[in-house]
Amino acid sequence: MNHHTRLFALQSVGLVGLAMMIGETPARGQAPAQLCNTLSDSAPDPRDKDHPILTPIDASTKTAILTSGLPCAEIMTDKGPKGSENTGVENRQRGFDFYSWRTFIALNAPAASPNEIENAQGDTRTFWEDGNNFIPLLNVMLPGGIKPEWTPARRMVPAACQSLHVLHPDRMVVKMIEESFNQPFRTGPLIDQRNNYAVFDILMNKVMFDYIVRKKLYSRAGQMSEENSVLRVDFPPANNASNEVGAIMLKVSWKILTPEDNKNKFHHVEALVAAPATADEQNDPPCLERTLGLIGFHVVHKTKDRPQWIWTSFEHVDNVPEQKDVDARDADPAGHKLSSAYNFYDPSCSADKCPVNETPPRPWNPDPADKLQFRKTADGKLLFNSQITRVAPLTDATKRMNAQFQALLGNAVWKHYMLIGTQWPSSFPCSADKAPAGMADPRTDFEKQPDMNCAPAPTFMANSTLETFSQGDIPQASSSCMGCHGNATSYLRPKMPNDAYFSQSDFTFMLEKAR
Amino acid sequence: MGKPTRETPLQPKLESDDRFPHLTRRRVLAAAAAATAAVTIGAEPVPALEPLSDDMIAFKNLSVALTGISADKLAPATDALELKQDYFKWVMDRRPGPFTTLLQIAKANATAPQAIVDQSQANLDTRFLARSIVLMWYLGAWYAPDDLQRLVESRSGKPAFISHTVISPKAYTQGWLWRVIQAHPMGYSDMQFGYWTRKPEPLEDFISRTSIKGT
Repeated sequence: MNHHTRLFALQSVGLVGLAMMIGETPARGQAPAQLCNTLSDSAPDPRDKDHPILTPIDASTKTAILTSGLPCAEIMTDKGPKGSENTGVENRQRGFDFYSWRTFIALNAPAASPNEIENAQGDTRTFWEDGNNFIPLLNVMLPGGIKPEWTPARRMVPAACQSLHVLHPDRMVVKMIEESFNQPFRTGPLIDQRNNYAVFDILMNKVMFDYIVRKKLYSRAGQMSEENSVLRVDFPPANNASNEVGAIMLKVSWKILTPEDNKNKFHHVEALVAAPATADEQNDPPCLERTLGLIGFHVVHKTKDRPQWIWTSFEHVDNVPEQKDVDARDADPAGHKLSSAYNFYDPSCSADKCPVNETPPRPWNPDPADKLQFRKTADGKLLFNSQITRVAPLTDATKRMNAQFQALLGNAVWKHYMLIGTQWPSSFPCSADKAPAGMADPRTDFEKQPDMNCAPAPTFMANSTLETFSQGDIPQASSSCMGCHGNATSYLRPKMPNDAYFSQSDFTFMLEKAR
Repeated sequence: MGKPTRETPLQPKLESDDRFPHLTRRRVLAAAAAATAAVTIGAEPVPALEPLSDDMIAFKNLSVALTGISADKLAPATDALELKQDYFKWVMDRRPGPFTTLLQIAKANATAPQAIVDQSQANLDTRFLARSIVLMWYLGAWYAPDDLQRLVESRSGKPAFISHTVISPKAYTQGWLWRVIQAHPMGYSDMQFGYWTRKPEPLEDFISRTSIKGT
C-alpha cells in the first residue's frame, strides 16, 4: 500500500453508516475496503427509480465530507430529485461539482492531520504542498534532461536561493520562468491591486511523476528515443473500485501578500521566489523572500471513465467581481453595491479610466530590479494595475453548492475559496470508448472524430487568475480546458509517418517542457 | 427521410424542382462555399436551459425526421451544447405561425418520421421553413424560407443570390455538414493533433456511432 492509499484508508473511517450516499456499496457480509472517497451527491430512491435523493451538504454529512479523502472518480447521475426541472447536463454537473469540492478539500487538508481541515489556518501546510505528495514541474523537467528525483530533500534548488534554502528549508521554492508570470499562449501577466505580478506554478502527483520517469519522458532525448517511437502516452487513470488515485496535475496561482493584505483570509506560504532570468541571462536573478497567498487552484484528474480528464477550478472569493454585477452597479449605483476591494479590480475606478480585462503595456517581463512589481513610470508613478471582471458568471447551482461547502468549513481559511466550475466530457458513449481491459486506450479515445474531447461541459470555463485574458465563449479563442489541452503535443517521434499517435501527449503540456 | 447509411449518408426525398435534389458531399460543400459569400453573425442571446417541453420534443422529432440524423446525436439526453434550444428560439422568433404548424405535425406523427416529412411539404409556408430548418442544422446558418422559395421560383432564369446569417459561433462549429463530409469547419477543430496525416475515421464515427469499441 503506498502513501496515498494509506492516507485515504485512514480518511475513509467516517464512512460507516453513510451507505445511502456511497456509490459503490460492498456486497452483504463483505468487509468494506473503501480507500477512495466514494461519497455521492445523491442516492437512488428505492421507491422512485427516476428521482434520486440528494445528499445533504450540512451538519448531518459534515464529518464524512470533510474527512473522507480524495475521490478517485466521479459518481453522478443524469436524474434529478422529485420536483427538480434540471436538465441531464445540470444533474451531472452537480455530481461533478460535488466531486470537485471533495477533491479540493482532500488536497488542501492539512498535510499533518488530513481529517482536520475545519481547523486549518492560513499558514497550515496542505497535502499538496507536502513534497512527499506533489512535485513542481520544474523539478521534473531539469536542465540537460537529467533524471529527476522524487525525494524532496534531493530536489534541485535554484542557485540564487540555495543559501536562503539552507536557512529556511521548509519554505516553498518557486522558480519563475515565463509561464510563472505570463498566461497561457503568452496572453499577458496579471498585476494585482498592490502592483505585484501574480505568480503561477504547476505540479504533479507521484503517479504522474512515476509514469514520466518510467517512460523516460523527462527529457527530449528520452521522448524522441527509438524505445518511445511506439509509445502511446497514457497516464494512469484513477479508479474507485481498485482504489487507484491516478494521475493528477495542479496549476496554482499566487498573489504576493503585503502588509496591507489580510493574510489570514488567504491560504499562504512563506516562499523563496527565484525571479525570472534576464533576457541576456548574464546575471543571476535575485531570490526573493515573499509571502504568497493562494488565489487560484486548478486540479486536473484522469479517471477511469474520463480519459479526457476532469478539470476543476477554484478561486479566492475576493479576486474579481462578475461583469454582470459591475453592469448592475453602473446602472444603479445606489441599488447594486460591489465589495469595497478586490485582488484584481478597483471598484472606485471607472470603466473609462480602468478598462476591464486589458493586458498591461509591454514589455511584460518582470525587471529583476523591480522585485516582482510591475514597472513604474520614470517619476515613480504606477503604470498599470489589472482591472479584471469575470465574464461568465457562476451558475446559481454552483453558487448554492459553494455556500453549502463554505458553511461546512467553519472558520477554516478555505471558506474564502469558491468553485468556479468543473469541465467534463459530456458525451458518455464517446468518452466511454476504451479497451476491454477497462483502461483508457489512446488509440480509441483520442483518435475520436470529430471531437476527441467528447463534448466538454461546460463548453467554456476560465479562472479569472489563470485564464484571465481568454474568458468568453468564442470557439477556439476562449478558454476551454479540454479544447486547449487536447492540442498538447510532445517530442515523441513515431516510426511511421502516418502513425495515429503523432506527438501525442494525453492532454498535458508538461511534456513540452522537457529539456 | 430515412436514417443515413454509411454509403449514402444523406439522400433526402425532395421534390424534383428542388435546387438540391441529392445532398451529396460535393453539393453540400458547394453550398457551404456559397454560404460564405454573405455572412453576418447572429447575436441572439442564448436562452436558459430548460427541460424538454412538449414543443421541444416535437422540435426534436421534427429535426430528426427532416435531417436524417439520429436523435441521440442531434439532441443527446446529456446535451452540453443545447443547440436545439438556440434553434427553437431562433425559428419561433422569426416564423411563429408556420413553425407552430410544423410542431403540430411532429406531435401528430411522433413515431412516423416519413409522415412528418410528407406533411411538412404540403403547403408553401411549412415546406420552405422545413428546408430552412434542415439548412440550419447542417450549416449552422439561417436561410430565410422566403429566400429559399425565391431560389426555387427563379430556377428557369439566373439563380437568385440569397444571403444568410450564421446563427452563432457555436452553430458555426457544430454544423452537421462538417461531420457528414468527415472534416471540420475552417478555424476550428476538436480532432487530435496530427489527424491530417491519416485518412479520416469511418463516417459512423462522425455521425452515428454510439457503441463502445472493444466490447
